[in-house]
Amino acid sequence: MTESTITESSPKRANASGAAHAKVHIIRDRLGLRRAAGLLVAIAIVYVLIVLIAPPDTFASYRNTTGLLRSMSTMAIIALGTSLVIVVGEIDLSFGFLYGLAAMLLAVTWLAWGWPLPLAILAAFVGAGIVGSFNAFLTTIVAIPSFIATLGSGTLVFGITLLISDSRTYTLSSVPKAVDPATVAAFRSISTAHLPFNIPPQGLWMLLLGALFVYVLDLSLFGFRLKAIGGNPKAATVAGLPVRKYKWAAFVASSLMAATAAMLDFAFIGVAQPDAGQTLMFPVFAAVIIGGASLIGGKGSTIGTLSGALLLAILANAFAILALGAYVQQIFLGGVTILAVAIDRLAIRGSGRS
Amino acid sequence: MSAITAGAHTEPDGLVVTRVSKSYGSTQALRRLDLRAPRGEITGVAGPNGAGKSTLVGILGGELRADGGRIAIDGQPLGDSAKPDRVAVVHQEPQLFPNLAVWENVVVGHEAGLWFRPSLQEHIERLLDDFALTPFRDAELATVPLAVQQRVEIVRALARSVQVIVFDEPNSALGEAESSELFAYMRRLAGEGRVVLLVSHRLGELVEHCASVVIILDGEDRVVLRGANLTEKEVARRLAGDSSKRPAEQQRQLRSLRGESASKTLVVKGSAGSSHEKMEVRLQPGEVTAFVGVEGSGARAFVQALGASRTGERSLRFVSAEDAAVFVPRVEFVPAHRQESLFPNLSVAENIASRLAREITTPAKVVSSRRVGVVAERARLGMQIKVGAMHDPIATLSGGNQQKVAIAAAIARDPALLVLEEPTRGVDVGSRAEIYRILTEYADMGRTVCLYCTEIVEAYHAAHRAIVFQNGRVVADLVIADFENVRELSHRIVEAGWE
Repeated sequence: MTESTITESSPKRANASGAAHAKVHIIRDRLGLRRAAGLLVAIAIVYVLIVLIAPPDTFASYRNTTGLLRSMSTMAIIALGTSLVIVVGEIDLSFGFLYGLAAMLLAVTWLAWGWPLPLAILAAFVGAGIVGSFNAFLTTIVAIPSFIATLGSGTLVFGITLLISDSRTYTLSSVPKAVDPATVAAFRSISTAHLPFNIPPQGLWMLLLGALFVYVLDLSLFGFRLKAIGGNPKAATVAGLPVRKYKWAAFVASSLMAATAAMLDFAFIGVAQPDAGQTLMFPVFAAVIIGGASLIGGKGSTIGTLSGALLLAILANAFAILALGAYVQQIFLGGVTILAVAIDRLAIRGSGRS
Repeated sequence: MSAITAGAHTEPDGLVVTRVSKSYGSTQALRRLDLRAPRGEITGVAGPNGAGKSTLVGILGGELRADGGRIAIDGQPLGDSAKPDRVAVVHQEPQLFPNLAVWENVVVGHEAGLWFRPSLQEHIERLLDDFALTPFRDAELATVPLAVQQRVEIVRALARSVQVIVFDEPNSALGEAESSELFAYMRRLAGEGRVVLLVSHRLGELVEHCASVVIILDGEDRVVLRGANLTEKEVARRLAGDSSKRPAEQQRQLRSLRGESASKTLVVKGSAGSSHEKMEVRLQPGEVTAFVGVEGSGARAFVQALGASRTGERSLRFVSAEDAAVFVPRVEFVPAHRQESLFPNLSVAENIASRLAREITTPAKVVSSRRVGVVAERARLGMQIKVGAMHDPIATLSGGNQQKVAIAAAIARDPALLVLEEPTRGVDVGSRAEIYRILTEYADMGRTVCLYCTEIVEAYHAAHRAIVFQNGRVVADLVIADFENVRELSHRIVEAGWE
């Protein structure tokens, strides 16, 4: 089945069916725009409402908008990785702990052990890759459900993080004398460099990685097969798709993205703590799920995930500006997530066979 | 109103379906369907692929909601919340709890008390005994044979005093002895005054066991055959519709799939399933070979092992007959259960393309919508897949059309060896014939096609050769053309030791 036979037979087929079927583009909504349309409308409404309620020159200001872009980036970058794991029909609960491990690996090897910065960064990513591979090993080879496998590995990772860091917090404002201040400045610049229009570097990283994930998840053969595997792993095995390999890739990608987010945050905040990533657990899942991914696997899109993260960042930002108190934010976060999934369920029930 | 259109003068006993409609998006599955099934007899329902049989069963069973119309049992509308559980469906695949014991499956959902783990009550024990389930009573459901699981579904219905029992292709996976046993139970259920509905694609069985047969075409009830009109020939004639038509142009296009020339004779050696018997089977390119045998004969295990060899399973070895060289042919496998061959989250077109890589991508490994469309459209034409739109979810297709999609996905890879396990399980007559034609044409291109079937008549119609298994061994290797009719073939197979 070469390209030539395909083009050759096209006119015949059009004749046979009496319609221009051959020209029809068969894959609908591959970017997930149609599926995310409701969410984008919701974001617009929420945005307008907050602009109306918030004091002038606070929420809608340019400064706040760039801040919003930065604050959503951590959640969004991790969520991109998590979305692959969810699409392939698994779950990864270890990324919050991995975030801490990656930051501490970097800080300890670089600041305490005096490794060169590039080597320290490599150590952080290799560490994350090993944990991702370990998750995949437990899930696909030992066949432990990923929920419990990654819950276990996450806790294990946290223990290791505490061990190697001696439960310490590392700051870039007071580094040992042996560390070159120029290197520190260079490292910090990945998240603090001054870009045109005051665009936050972390926001830019998020957009670049987002573009990469549009390719990986929504356009590429890899993404197509990832969805097939998530939709029916048994049929995927019969079809000869490399189920284990793809699951491994999803777990490793999830880990690497958590490490990326940790590194960018360390560069921005200048502080690395062993337990830093753990509060990200729920918002990241909420972003992926609000973004339209199905927890049973097989569904999800990059634009959906980024939109989910944007909605959550807008809400968090608005609560801070309106000073509504932490409890309101928690209630809202839980409520919005349940609402998003409920709307999706009802929409599915409204159309198509059970 | 309904009673009059149904032709009775008083409000009739039994099941009365009046003008029931149901559509999925743009596809109209049922159009104002009427149906009457009196108590005390078995009423058959027949119809080709996509005629709406599964939708009807879904609505009767309460899994789907009709868009309009009325369903009543003894004059009382169905869906009356005061009286749930009035219809039970016995499926092709029992829908039970595989992790519970047989008796627990019977009581779950209507346990006697809420506080304690249910106990086995006397009347349930009697029912289990009636249906020869006592030996299996405490076994985990997943461990008992399919025929036993179906009896559990029946007993579960009876324990709830269900008055209407729908059998949906109940014996498509059963051997012949198990089937006749099941029909005996069905006749008994009807004899005790219940409404029994049999949805089947096996014409002989419909004619033999039903008092009347309703033919459904395109979501409408077309005709009710009973008495002298109820013959196999007449049912087939009514069912035929236009599914046998096939434009020459399409035939030619399927031929254009022809790739490289015929490969050499394959010798398959090894052992399969639990059997440790070493066996050797010769497969001829250009032929469809049917592996025949009852459950446990080893035929299914052998075909499954053939199918599994595509993923590097090493229980079987492929050897070339000419030079004794060991090699691994390109194998594609279509399992018996569609839950194992299709992706529910993907569209029809994406399912057809699901096994492909290079053929559907651009050099940058981006899946090309146009190329997926080309592959899918070719399969639709070659296999006459009835579909609303190619980007519709796979679940909007009828069972027979889903099966064609599953086969299309395997054929799209152009395997040298195409292996199918019960390729027409739960598929109606019209599509069966089409699937046989597709397989024969694929073999005509010099490919090897192997299938496992439970029915001799399927081997007769679909295959060039039949390899008969018994007790894990090959007991006969027959050329179908040597037999004048199915009866001769089955005679020879029974002689060889079938059952």
